[in-house]
Amino acid sequence: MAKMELSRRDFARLTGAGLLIGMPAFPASGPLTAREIVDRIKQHLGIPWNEKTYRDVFHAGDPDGAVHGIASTFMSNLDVFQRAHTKGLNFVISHEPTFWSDEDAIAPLRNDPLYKLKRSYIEQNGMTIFRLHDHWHARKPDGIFEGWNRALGWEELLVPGDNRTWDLPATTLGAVARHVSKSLETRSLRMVGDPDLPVRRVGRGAHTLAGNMAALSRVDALLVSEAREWDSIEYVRDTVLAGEKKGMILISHEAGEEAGMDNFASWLKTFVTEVPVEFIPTRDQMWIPA
Amino acid sequence: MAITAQQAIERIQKNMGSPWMFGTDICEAGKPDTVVTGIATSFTATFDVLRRAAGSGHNLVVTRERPFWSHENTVMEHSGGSVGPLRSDLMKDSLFQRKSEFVAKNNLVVWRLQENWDARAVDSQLQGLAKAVGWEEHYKPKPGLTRWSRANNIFTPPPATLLEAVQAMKTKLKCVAPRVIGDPSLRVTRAALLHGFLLVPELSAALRDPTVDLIVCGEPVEWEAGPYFMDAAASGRKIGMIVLGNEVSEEPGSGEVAAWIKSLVKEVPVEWIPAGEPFRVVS
Repeated sequence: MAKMELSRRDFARLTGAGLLIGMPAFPASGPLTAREIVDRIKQHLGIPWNEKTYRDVFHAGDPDGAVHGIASTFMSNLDVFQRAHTKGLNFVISHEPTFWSDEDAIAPLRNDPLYKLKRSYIEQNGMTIFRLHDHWHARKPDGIFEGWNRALGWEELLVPGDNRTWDLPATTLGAVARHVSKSLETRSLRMVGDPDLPVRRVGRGAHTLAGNMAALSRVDALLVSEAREWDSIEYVRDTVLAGEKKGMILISHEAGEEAGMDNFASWLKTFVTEVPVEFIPTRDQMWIPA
Repeated sequence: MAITAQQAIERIQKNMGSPWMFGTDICEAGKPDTVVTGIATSFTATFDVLRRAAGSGHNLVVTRERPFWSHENTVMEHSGGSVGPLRSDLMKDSLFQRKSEFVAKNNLVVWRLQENWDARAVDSQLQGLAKAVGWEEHYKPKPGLTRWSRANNIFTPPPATLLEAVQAMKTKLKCVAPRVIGDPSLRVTRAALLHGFLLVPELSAALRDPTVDLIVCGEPVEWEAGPYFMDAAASGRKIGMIVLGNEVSEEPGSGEVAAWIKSLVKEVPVEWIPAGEPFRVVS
């Protein structure tokens, strides 16, 4: 029989579950804090940290409070906080913002009832929120696309030296769309173009028209997670109407990047072992009726 | 009597019912001194809309969105967005060139009408959408607010499940790709009908009415109004959202534009040529 030994991680779990109330968790070094975890992430990323980032910062909570568990997620939605809290995970690392804008600008929301509710949920439950966007993308390889490629099963199909383009065995736009729907577990996929369009080369598009114009010229079909309907989508529609053999598959933002934060949780676990680390899917909540 | 595009546009501007405020509604392609043989309206002047307009002799195309896609703006329209591309960049694009050539060859004039149309007290885009989904008789205007103003947008359709509500809309609007958030079996009775691009302040205002259990909208940003709605639902509110798509939600308004222009410009035929939903779904 193995010796009964509490690892630091087990110890933290028990503490988090309230079984050792009254005992200091880490008498020697003090509890692990969110700030320490972020510092450790910075050390392991392998790229310089951009101190001027407005995105990859703490969004709420106390960076110096004790962390009992870490939830990695795509978007720090209230529903994600609720699930993380139930599991005793009080530090949420989210790829996307908390208060519904890229800058996480809270000034316009001061009197917004939902803002107040979400803020007080975070505070009352002792949660801390950090956004990790730019640096997880900037890591080599891009941590979001790495996870996403794996989820699609397309790792071997990447065009060498280009992490946004794949060469598939000869297929059709409709067949690619079905594969994407199934592998990314999304029920809200939309397509522009003929489902029977022959497809070999697929490129990951952008949120912007300029990005999608550049990408479309090099591939048979674009795979895009969220783009504006009046520009990117209409540009592709016009390309098809002009007789070009092109197409587009449009998926939700969640479906497009969520797997990259599952990947992040796996990576984080390799150097944060004191507390549980778990991927909490934000999930694509949209569905298209049959 | 012959009327030029410029003359037709000036007549429209004079009759707008509010001062001409926005310089974004401009002639996007073609020559304003072209003699008009007919007027077409549409959500957006796709290649197909231009072909149908040219084929039926409607050479003045009044479009809500831009024929060359980009809003060409220098300010961001939502957080984390982008500006441009501007005309100087677009002109290098072969599709831009082909579309421009088609306009010139067929003597078309493409004029944008959006911002000034939307600035009127009555929101004809809302009215058009309400008619198209068959909700006019279920309109519940708030007292003290202009009837059919954009924010006066509450309807009480016959109680239905969220799934039934979206199926009814698919049939009425002949669309295939509305996206829904919420439990399909949720009972919905009171809807806020929004349209087009949706930002957080408009959604937040609609949700201030605690009895609203259905939001119908066009195009929310998926890191802004999208998660805002999901958070409202996670806060315990029993509510559903139907995301129609920008074209589907705004196109009926282009029918209203056609009807209104018809009352002003009687010299030539006026016709609504819907661009149609751009999307397909997987079968």
